[in-house]
Amino acid sequence: MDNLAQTKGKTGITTKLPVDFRNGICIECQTQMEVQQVKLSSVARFVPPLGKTFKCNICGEVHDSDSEIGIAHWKEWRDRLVNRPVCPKCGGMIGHLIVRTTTIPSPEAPKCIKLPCIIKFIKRSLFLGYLASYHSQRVAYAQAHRPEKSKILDRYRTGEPSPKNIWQCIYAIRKLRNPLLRNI
Amino acid sequence: MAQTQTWTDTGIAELILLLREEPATGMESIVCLNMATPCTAAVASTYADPADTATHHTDSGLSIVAIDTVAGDTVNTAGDTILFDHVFTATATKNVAGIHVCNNDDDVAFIECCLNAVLAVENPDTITIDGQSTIDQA
Repeated sequence: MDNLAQTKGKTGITTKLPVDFRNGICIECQTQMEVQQVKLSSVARFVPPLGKTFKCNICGEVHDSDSEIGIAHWKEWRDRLVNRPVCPKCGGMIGHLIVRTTTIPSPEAPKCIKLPCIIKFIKRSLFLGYLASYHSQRVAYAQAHRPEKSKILDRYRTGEPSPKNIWQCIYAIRKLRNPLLRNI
Repeated sequence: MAQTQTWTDTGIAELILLLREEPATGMESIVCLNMATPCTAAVASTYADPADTATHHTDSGLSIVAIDTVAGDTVNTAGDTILFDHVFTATATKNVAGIHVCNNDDDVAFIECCLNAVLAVENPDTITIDGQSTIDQA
């Protein structure tokens, strides 16, 4: 293996950030929820594994994860109170989905200067441009039609299925803009 | 407008400080960005100067707080990914154009994210962020 291959190393950081935007009406019993303080440990979606040591958010010290004080402070941090909308009827905390945003990656730079590479890059750029346009219009449309006010197709709220090529993007955008076609 | 998100230059500098064991803090806080029109995430953005003319929300459940959970994960190689998971509960009508993921000192934005469109939140809407960042071993 040459030196270049051995030392190439990390090439970048990729970040995914899907965002769910939900209203305050309980998905289970359609009741208006109220903001209450709940223990984070009861609503957190995952519990991070502890290493051998960790920096404590309570006292700022580094604790062994099997030490008594470490476990006590860890539990205290996990049980801190956070605001959540809570349904007064059923205790549910999930509202109806207003819209889910979609991440659009930027096009990869062409890997060579041959014509097919350039054409591929241009096609990919055009596709991602149209796709971004579709999803921004979809998010705006879904927000203007919140679930408590009007019913729209789920695909405009979730973004799935997403257009797969330029022509599907153009068709989806035209359909979304047309009040007669967008609910079909 | 596409949803854009990026690690900022100051975020990478903070990461390098952590590796060098210089004074720096890890990913701990999150805050919503306030702007009436969609913003575009930029590597040059900083905690004090977010993308375009965006500012940090300072109230209504959208201000800077500790991220609910931050955890390690694996995508390509063991432990190459950080997961961060947070729910904002709005307590008033506001615009949310994006988010900043910040350090514990609340002076460096590691990640800037600008959403597809400005979210017009009302009391008690929620914004659930399910973020993942992978250092790519290509």
